[in-house]
Amino acid sequence: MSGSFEQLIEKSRKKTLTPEDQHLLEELFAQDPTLKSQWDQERRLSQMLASLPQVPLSKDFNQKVLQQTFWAKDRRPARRRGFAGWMSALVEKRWAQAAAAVCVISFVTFGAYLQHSQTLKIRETADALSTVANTAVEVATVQESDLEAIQVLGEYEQSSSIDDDLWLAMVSY
Amino acid sequence: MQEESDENLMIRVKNGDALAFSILMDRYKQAVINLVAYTIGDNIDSEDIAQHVFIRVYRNASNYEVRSKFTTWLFTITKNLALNEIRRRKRHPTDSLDVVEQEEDYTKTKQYPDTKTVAPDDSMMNDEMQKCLKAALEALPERQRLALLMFQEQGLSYEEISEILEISLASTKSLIFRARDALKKTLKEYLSSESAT
Repeated sequence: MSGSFEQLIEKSRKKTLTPEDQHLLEELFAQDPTLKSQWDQERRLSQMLASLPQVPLSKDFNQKVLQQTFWAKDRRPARRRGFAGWMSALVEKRWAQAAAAVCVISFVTFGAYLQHSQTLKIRETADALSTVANTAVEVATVQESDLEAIQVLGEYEQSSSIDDDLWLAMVSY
Repeated sequence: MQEESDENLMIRVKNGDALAFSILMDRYKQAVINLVAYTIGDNIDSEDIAQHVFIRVYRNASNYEVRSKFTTWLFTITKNLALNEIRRRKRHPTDSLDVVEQEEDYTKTKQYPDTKTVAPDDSMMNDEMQKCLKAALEALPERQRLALLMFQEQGLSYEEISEILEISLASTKSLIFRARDALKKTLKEYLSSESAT
């Protein structure tokens, strides 16, 4: 019984009871008169809540909201974009175009600098190798001619001062 | 001519249609401000908050999915902003005098009828009853108040309310039952003064 009564109360909050519901309600009241006061309280509370006054609204409510939304710099509501959408939106922006140009120029310049640096390094390395090679040849040449002189000197028992000077120069070379 | 559905209007709003947005505001701004004002307990800032609700609707239009009901989404935003305001006020309590003054301004919009045409006791009783009802609503816990107002004032279903409050259906019904029970106890004097028709 209580289940039916609760269901009828719930139903009455949302909509008017059907004649069948009314009939069932009368039967429930007949079986248990205390339900009548409960029912009256429920209905009365619903009426009180329904009588809460409307809160005042200013006449320019819509205008104020539109000024902060659609009319704010003619902005449209943000749309969900995919990658293509973001790219096409960026292309429209001048600052994005300028930034892209700067990036391209910087990239090209940096690439040219890197290439030039590498060329310089190769040249330096080649020069260094050439110097080493020339030095080695000279050293080898000197050593070869010196050996003969040293051999000849070795055959002398006494040396003159000229020979001493020559000896010193060859040793220090 | 059949009224355009909320969901169709929101599709138009997503495409930048200001007229569709205005129509939605006209439909729901009263309901939104009522819910805000009775949730936070007074009219101070309720219009500002109601405006922010629609600004958020506009800014998050891209997040709105057509398959979900617009009113559920709208009142979720309303609930969030109203609860934010309650929490903000708890952190920074307002001067109680301001609240009282605002309430006085609000009641000034009612006109007290001529005693010759209407019995003075009835109108004063209504005002008194209104004040007690509002005080009783304010005394309810936030969630009970919200659930009851959405059910009673906005006519939302239990399912919608449970979605908005992010609770189960059973919890929603329990909240509303407890809210009504508390009000019946507080307003016993007024509930037994007349029999319901």
